This record gives sequence, C-alpha cells and structure tokens, in this order.
Amino acid sequence: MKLDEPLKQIAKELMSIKGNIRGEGILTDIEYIRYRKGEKEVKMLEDKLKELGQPINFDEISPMEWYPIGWDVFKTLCLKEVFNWSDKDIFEMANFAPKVSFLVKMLMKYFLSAERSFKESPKYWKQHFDFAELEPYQYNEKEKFMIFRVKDFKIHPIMCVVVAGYFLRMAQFVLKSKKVGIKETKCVFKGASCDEYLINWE
Amino acid sequence: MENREIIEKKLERAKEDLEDLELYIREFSAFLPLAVCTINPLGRIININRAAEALTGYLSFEIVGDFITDIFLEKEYWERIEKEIVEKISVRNKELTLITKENKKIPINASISLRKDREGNFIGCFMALSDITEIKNLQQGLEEKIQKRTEELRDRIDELEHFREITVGRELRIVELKNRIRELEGQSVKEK
Repeated sequence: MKLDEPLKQIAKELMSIKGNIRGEGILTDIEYIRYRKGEKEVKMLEDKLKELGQPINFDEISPMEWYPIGWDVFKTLCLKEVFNWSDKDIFEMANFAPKVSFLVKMLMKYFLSAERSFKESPKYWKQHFDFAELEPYQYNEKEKFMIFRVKDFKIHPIMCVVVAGYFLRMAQFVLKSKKVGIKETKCVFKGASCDEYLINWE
Repeated sequence: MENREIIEKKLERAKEDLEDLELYIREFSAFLPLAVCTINPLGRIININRAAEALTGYLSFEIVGDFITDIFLEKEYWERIEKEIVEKISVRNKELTLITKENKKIPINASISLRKDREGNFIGCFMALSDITEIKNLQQGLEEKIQKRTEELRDRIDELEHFREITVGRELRIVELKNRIRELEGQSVKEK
C-alpha cells in the first residue's frame, strides 16, 4: 500500500496537466501488453488503475477520441510497476505502437520519403496530441541524420522514453537503412528549454 | 456559441464515421481469404491481413516495418517489378518465391497495384499474394507425365524404326538376291 502512495500522488499531478492524446495512443500500448503478456495481464493493469483511483476501461476507449494525457502517462507508470518493466521495455512498447496504428496506415501520405516525412511531422504530431509542438529542426541527407525538437511537452520523464521509441519506429518506416538509431540530446527534465532527439542512420 | 455546437457535432459525427470505416476495413481485411500486403513507397510493409499472416507465418506486427524484399527469394526481380508498377499502375501474375517465417519456400502469384493520394503522389502499393503450390505441383506432375509419355513414344518409335529396318531391309535383300539369280540365269543361258 505504501508503494502505491507515490503513484497516487503522481496521478493527482498528472491529471492536472492540460492536453489530450488520441485514444489510439493508449490502445496501441494495450495491444503490446496483450501480445507480450496476455489478456489476463491487461485486466490486471485495469484493476491496478482502479485500485489507484484512476479507473480506465480499455474496451471503452475509442481510437479517434481525445483522452487526457495524464491518463496515458499514468497508465504507462502503472504498467511499469505492475509488470516490473524497465525503461527499455517502455521504449520497446513505444517502438511497437506505429506497427499496429491505424493512424499510421491512414496518414501514409506523410511518409513518401524521409525528407517529406520530416517536413510533415508537425501535422502528424497534431493528429496524436492536441497540445505541445513538434519542430523538424534539422535534416541532413549527406551526413545521415535528422533532429526533432518537442516543445511544451514537460509531462513526465517516462514520456522522453516513449517519444524516443515512437520516433525511432517512424524513422525506421521512412528510411531505406536497416541501421537506424535515436538519442535524446536535450531534455526539459535536465534543464533544457525543449526535448531534442537525434536520429541517425547508416 | 450555436455555431461552435454545430461544428462540434459535425466533428463528433466525422469521428464516428472514421471509426466505423476503420472497423469496416479491419473486418473486411480479416474476412478476405486472399493474402494482401500494403507497402509504402520505400518498399516497407505497412500492413498485412489475416490471410497474409497465415501464408507468411508472421503475425502482423512481426513483419510490419520490414522490407517486402525480405520475404522474397527474388530480390533483384522485385526491383524490376517495382519499376513496372510505376509505369503500368498495376501488374498481374508475377511468379515469386515467398520465404515464410519457418524458412519454407512457397511459390506465389503476385498482383500489385499502385496507390496514389488525392494529389496524385505515389504513396505505395497493394500486393495480393496467392499460393500456387498446388498448381505448381499439378503442373510438375503433368510435365512429368508428358515427359514419361514422350519417352514411351520415343521408345515405340525406335522399336518401329528397328522393325522397319529389319522388314524393309530383308525385302530389299530378297529383291537383290532375286536380281542376282536372274543375272546368273541369264549368264548360264548365254554360255549354253
């Protein structure tokens, strides 16, 4: 019970954050739990959320509907605790998300090439979040790297891991290379004014 | 305020329509007995339906993001097909060899159709795959039968040829001998 107290406190803080995410952002993670752990574990997570005073019925989440970002982050923190997952597991979960995303399939027009995807990425961001901003900061085909900046997205450090995992998969979708990497080069939780991600490839 | 309400209602309706559409596509795609893959302009797999999962042995999320060439034996031939699709919009009945998750090689027939967005940009393609193992086996069986029958016929022809050689050769020999006898008889009459 004592262990849950910090989570309850975090929940309060997270629920006060303004901003929403598409239901799909939550559902793709649930799909990953279903795949990696099983249906029973999805129920376990629901029970844990209920126990912590933040009940979410995943079956009732609609992919295109907007939900408080606090829900999504709290769900991620909870599953981390319930399944004893590391940041690496969370990164993998986020990296998995675009693979099962209906939005990705629907918004294929933004992924014609790496450069076009880079330029169109702010529009793509807006399809997923109704707050914060994604800035395609630098693209260098010759040196094989691109830099994205995420502004006004100071929610919780776990989201840096989530964003990195997700961005990496999106880059893997639009690059010909089989070796693509990502690194968070600036972080709001380390005093920077925005989050910055460097994606490079061979 | 009233306008805002109308816009919100319209948005809500559009969202519901979109979700219904998604559900319809998902159900239709799951029902479809034909294996279908969606590929992006870089040749990466974006989606596969249930029939394609069954054919390849991969679950959708195991293969989404991989290059389509990763699951075919003929990698260079695929590059040629790609060029053909861009020129012809769609290509049909291309024979390829699928490499399944279990590393099994399956002959397949592929039909590919180009996808364009509203502005006419190339946004990838749809690929339908059908397993032609049975057809190939049947074809191979037929070819083997034809070969066997051809060999049998060839043997029969050889036999007939041999028979002809024996019978016709014998007759020719008889004619030759008869002529020789006639010649000898003529000589004998002259000597008398």
